[in-house]
Amino acid sequence: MGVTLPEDALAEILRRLPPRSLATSRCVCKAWRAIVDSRRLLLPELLPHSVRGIFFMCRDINFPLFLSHPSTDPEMLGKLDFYRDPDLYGSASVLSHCNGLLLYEDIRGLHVANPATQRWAHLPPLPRFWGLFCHGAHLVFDPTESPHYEVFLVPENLFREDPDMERREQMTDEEWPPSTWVLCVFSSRTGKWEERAFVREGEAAGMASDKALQRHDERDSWPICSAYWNGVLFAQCNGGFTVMRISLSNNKHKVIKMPTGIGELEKVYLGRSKEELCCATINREKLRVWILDDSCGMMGWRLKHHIDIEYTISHVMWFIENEGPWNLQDISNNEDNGLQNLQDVNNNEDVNNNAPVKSKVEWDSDNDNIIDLESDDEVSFMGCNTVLGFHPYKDVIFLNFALERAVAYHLNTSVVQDLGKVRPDYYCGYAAELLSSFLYTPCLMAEFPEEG
Amino acid sequence: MASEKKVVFLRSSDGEAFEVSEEVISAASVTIKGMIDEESPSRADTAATTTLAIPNVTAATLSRVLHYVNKHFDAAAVVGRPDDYIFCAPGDEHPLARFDDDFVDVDNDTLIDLVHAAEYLHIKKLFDLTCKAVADKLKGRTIDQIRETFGIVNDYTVEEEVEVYRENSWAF
Repeated sequence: MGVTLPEDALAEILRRLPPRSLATSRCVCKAWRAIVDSRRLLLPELLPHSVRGIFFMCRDINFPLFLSHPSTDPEMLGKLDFYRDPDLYGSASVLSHCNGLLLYEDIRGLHVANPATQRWAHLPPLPRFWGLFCHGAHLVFDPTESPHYEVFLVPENLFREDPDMERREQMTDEEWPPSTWVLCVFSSRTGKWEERAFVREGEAAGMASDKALQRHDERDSWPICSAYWNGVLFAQCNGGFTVMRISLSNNKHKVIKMPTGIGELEKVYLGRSKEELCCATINREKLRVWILDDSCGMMGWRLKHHIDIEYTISHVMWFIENEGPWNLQDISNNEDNGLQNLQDVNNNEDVNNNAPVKSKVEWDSDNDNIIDLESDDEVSFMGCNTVLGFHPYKDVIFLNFALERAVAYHLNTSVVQDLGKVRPDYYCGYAAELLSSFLYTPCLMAEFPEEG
Repeated sequence: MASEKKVVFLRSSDGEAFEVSEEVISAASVTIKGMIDEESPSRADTAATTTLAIPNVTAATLSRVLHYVNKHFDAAAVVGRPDDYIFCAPGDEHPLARFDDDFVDVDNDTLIDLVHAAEYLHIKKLFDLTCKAVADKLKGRTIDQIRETFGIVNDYTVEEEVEVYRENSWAF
């Protein structure tokens, strides 16, 4: 019956599908694939399937740093206004990244930007009670489903984040999160912030006054990670003690406790790898990766990798003297990053002269810059190693060794790819610390809902 | 003259005739407007009403189409706001949104017939509506569900199927 439709009508129907459904439709039969292909309805190369850079926030550096392969357009950042005019907008922080969109904050408020297409939107001011809120802001965006995005404000715990003083006092002896949890959500569809209620499935994390749920207070600087796909947002809460599974399709939430055996002071990184939620820690050169097993209806963490990376680190550290194949772009020290002329908006021509040479060859996430672990070159080394993120489509984890080096580590083969320096030359000292990191997967889909 | 509304008759493929206001159907269907314009010199000074043959559309489908057309294009029937989405603030429901939802809440065969008719009669709004409704039926379905719903036979060889699945594996 569907096949009896004239090609034009079928094409018009398929044209109305989001990329994910188009990919499914391509598999239905030859005629459908021919229509999708000949009319270029699906352009998977525009979707955020590859890691092209890493945004970092470091303590005492007021701008995000960006580490990327030279093939990633160096002017991309220069056109984002917070990069363009740092003096005007004070400082800027990246709060969240989802499938190529960035959520950032400066003195004007919150903004969502797509660096690859140079489009951005300033979000309206937060509603009353949520006005002082900035922790736990998470972007929700899936270009394979829709060009629209949402921003979720997920309170980290009751004491710290519930903006309503009165409500806080009343609720200290109640369960947290409450059975009906009200979150503040911005939708690009409506252009407005609204409060949305989510009904809890299963147990609460504990009582609101529980010490275990207040862990964030002691670790002010710890990252809050989130992951979103298939209509479900996973957001870290309580200083990494819990993960909230927030289902957008049925407005429900569920508490997921972290794996047992993680030490009080271990940072837990959370992310998506393939179609699974993963978390990872590094403690004394031991990397552990868990995946969330949802198969039997009972959500539980399964330890998938437990790897001693000491040997790897000692070999990687031997490379420190080299610049590395990826470049660090740093607005706060813009002498050598090719962006110094961007403050003059009308004089963008000069940028090209100073910008790093764009390499024609893209980074090969399987083969480039593999570190030879067989060699005898190694140094002994001490420092804090952290997880930067999970490759969303491969069994690869990105690691930071003591702020000196970022690498891509292949979990199944132990192959290590060198990326580059994490720390700007001027940045050192005891307080130097990486606060958060976001793997950047560019999305080149042109559609972007803007204000107005 | 002006006070009396002209009507035309549309004869379906199975021979049933339907009466509709000439003004309304001309505003709705580019195809029928073209037919009427062609006819008009010969009927300028006769009082006889015109009957137009619509050979590609059955009575069942044509009656549905005319129901839609009378609802959307008859200025006298449209109450309230101008019939255009841009006049609605975001979140406001379009006055005919409910009608449209009900209109396309039909079985697949009927819906596909409406797509055909809308395309043939060149009624853009109806074409958009019905295409979107079919697309909504495809959204979120698995490959097998789509084949089953739309009666499509899988004509890929095993090798081709492996290849096309691999290319699109990110979506499953």
